[in-house]
Amino acid sequence: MRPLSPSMLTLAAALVACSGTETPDAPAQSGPAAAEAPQPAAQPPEPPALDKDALEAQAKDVILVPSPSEMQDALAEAGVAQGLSALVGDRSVRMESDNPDVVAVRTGVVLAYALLTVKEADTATLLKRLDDIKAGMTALGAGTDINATIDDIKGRLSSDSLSRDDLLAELDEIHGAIIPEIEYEAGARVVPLIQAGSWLAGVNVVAEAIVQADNATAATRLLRQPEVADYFLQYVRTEGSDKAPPEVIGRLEQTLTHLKELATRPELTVDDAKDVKARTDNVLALL
Amino acid sequence: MLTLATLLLVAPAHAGEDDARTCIQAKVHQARAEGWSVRTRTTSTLQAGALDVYAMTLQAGIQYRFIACGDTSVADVGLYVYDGEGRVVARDLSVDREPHTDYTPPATGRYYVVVQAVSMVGGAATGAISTAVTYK
Repeated sequence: MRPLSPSMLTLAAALVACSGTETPDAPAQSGPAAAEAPQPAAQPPEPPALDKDALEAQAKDVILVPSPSEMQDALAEAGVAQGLSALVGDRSVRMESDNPDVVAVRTGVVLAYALLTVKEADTATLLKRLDDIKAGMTALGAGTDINATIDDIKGRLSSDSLSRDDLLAELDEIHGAIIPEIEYEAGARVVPLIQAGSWLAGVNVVAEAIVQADNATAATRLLRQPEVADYFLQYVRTEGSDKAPPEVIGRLEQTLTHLKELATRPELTVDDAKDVKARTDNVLALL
Repeated sequence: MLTLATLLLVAPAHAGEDDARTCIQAKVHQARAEGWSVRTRTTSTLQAGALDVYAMTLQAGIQYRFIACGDTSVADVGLYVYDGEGRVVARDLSVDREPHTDYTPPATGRYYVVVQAVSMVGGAATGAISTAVTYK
């Protein structure tokens, strides 16, 4: 048998190396791209036959909400150069409250501010935000692990042994991985409330950046998140309806309903972004 | 008398969930080193052949990497991404318990990541799967 040439071996190796994943551009049910790819050792099964209704019926919302950092990246991708850090500036959040639901939302807000300013804020401001997050977690009974993690981060930040890139990774870990797991200590309702605070704060500064950039395309791309608005809206109307002050619930419901309604429009304007900014300002001011 | 609900509430999590979490933490750590940020991680226990569907809002133009880890009782984890119309837009083609796949959505909107306990080791009835969504 004739041996493969080096170039053929290289091609074969490249094909094998590329065979781990694919991004089909057509529904799997109508002809899988797998047939065109090199055959792996064992054939993977066809994707489950799930139509839109079946997906929706089974969907869990645990990973639904974009993080503030993700929104910032999407903003840059949409051509808005304005960094969100400057818009957050030295905004602070009052953490004292007798209402644990309000504390949870505020903790989410301050976590968003920390994430969005991690590269530019001075160390004292970041340390204050870490203290606020820790105070919130303590008030929520989130357990000792997360506070130990925050203390460790603060220690390294204070001693200049933690780069801002590493700090961003640490905060991202708290937001994306550690907080979703505090439901065992703090209760399941705390997690969506923290997420709601982070998301609202993120939407608020994203809207402001879009207004400053006068970029309607970015408004259309980024401010239409009906599923997230609906997720929190359902929560506010059921689980949270009797837990927070009525004026907060009422304003939150109005704002979320408006954000959901915006998504039904084919295109948004800069005036829509101004409206989102004003409405989320009002909610954040009530907290 | 203990009710069924009480028993369910105090039942320990599937033993394999710790294995799956440890695996996904290592994967996420590796992804971070490559410049990926993490949106979230989650873990659940599935029966053989069963699947979890997670709804997500993905942002246009952002590159996402979906990672999953099954515990040692899972032979093959299926990992698929569907768009809001129910079309498969990305999937993993490997036959193992540590799949990943990438996707960059053209539009901000609702998507679904589906993880499936496709096959099990030694006829195990259940297995734990951790899933992470990362982006850059």
